[in-house]
Amino acid sequence: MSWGRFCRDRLPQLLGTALGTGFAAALAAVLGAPAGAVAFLCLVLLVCGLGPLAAEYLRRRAFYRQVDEVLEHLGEKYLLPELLERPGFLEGALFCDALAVTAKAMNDAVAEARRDMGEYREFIEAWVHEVKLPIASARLALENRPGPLSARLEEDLFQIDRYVEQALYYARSGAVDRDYLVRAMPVRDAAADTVKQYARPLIEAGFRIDLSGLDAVVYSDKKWVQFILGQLVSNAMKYRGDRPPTLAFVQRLEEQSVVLTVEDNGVGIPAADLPRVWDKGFTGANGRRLSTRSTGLGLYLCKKLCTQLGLGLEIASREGEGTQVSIIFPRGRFHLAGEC
Amino acid sequence: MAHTVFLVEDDQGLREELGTLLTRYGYAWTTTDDYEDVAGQVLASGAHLVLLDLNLPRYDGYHVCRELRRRSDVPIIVVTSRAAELDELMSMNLGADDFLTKPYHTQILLARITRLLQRAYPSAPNPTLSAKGITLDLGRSVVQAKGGEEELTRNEARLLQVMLKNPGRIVTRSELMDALWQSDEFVDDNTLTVNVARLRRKLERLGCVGVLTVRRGQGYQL
Repeated sequence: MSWGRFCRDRLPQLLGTALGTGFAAALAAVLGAPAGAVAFLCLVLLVCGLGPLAAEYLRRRAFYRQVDEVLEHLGEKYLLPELLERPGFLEGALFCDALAVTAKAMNDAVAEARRDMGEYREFIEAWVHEVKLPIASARLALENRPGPLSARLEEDLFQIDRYVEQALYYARSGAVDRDYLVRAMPVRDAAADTVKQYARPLIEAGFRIDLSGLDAVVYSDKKWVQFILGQLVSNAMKYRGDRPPTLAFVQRLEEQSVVLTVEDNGVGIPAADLPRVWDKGFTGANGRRLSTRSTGLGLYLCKKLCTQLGLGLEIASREGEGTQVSIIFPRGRFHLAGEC
Repeated sequence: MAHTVFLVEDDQGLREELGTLLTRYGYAWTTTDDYEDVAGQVLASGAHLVLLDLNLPRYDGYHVCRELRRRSDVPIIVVTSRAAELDELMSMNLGADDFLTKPYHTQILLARITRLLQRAYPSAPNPTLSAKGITLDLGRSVVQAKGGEEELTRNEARLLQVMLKNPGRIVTRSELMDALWQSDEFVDDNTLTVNVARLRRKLERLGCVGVLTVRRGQGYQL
């Protein structure tokens, strides 16, 4: 709040004071008062009129400055009233009280939404936990009765299991509280376990796997990383081309990070679609053309989970040649200390 | 004597299927429906290994795990449907030897059971698998038949193991590849062909000619 704006706001009062002073001076002059007395009278009237205005300005300025400052530095702006000192002047006090009521209502609403979300997430987690049981049981039952029908059903069960897993991580991705455990993790283990998980569909599709040269150890949550890798492997299978499909896990050591890249030789992604692949629900030209199973959820989820884990995620692709998706693990103790 | 596995699993269907699987792979098994003192029952049964579900009716699996570890060194594999790293860490800290998430790959489960049993009971005779006059010594990776014995590579032993589990049935190439992949050998189609050919030659040297047949386009049959 500047003096200029304040004055403009108080224009009627200023005009009143000027008018009153002018009128008093004119009257005194008409009545034949000496010029010195008229000037003195003007001065007194002006001081009486403008003095309180100046005092008022200073008090307000202090308050609004505080408001500005808090708003600038506060992350969660709705907490403003918690940090404001209740001002001495009436309007400010009323404003502060109203703000406090608003903020409380807002905080209650936010807390309720958070609680609802937390409960919903807990329900999803519990549900996933429950539904995994019959899946495990059905899979074992098929395993015990090998045959063509079992092989067919096993494929479907595998798909069901993947979708269930996706639901679980979708629920986890929105959580405010951190639900993961950062530990030393050899990248080869994560890659190999993911390939094992997808072994059957990869074999059926005739994939060649290359895991050579993976020896780095990074710090992250293996289950989450494996889920992310799983989504990438699943994409490589969905969007494979006509050539014999290959899938390679390649590591690159940078000064600040370890980069794990999943490379396929599939159909690739058109350049025009590339910037939007992380968007929720975006399926692009490939999704429309190749696969009815495109949900536009996989990469979106990967990005979200990576952000939560403090990992980078990048994609490069050339149409007709293949796609490379890189997970960037920050290096060193700093990351470990930051997440634990 | 077959090793006995104690199944602590409150889902009856899953338990039955697990039992069937274990029987097929040459293990004995036992279980309980009384969750009051699981640890005591396990110890009383003299089981060689425990498959422990974390989610149990009375006390949770952690409690059972702690109790068991306090009183015995019996190998424990924790099996749960909660896919969280924290559960794994907790279980390992409480003394579990291994941790698997449902739905697990049965080949992995069986491999871990075999490994743990071998480590815990090294003096016990190696588990063997037999069918059609062929015996596979799983511990030494040696195949025996009337013509003597032959040493097998890791891959060959894996392949023969799968075949011996399914005598008479056509085992698909995918099944065999999967078995190799699960033991960390991400071989391609050609390597599989080579491995099977070598295995057949070794069997023929033992006098088992025509025992392992190729079913073109389908797979192999023992």
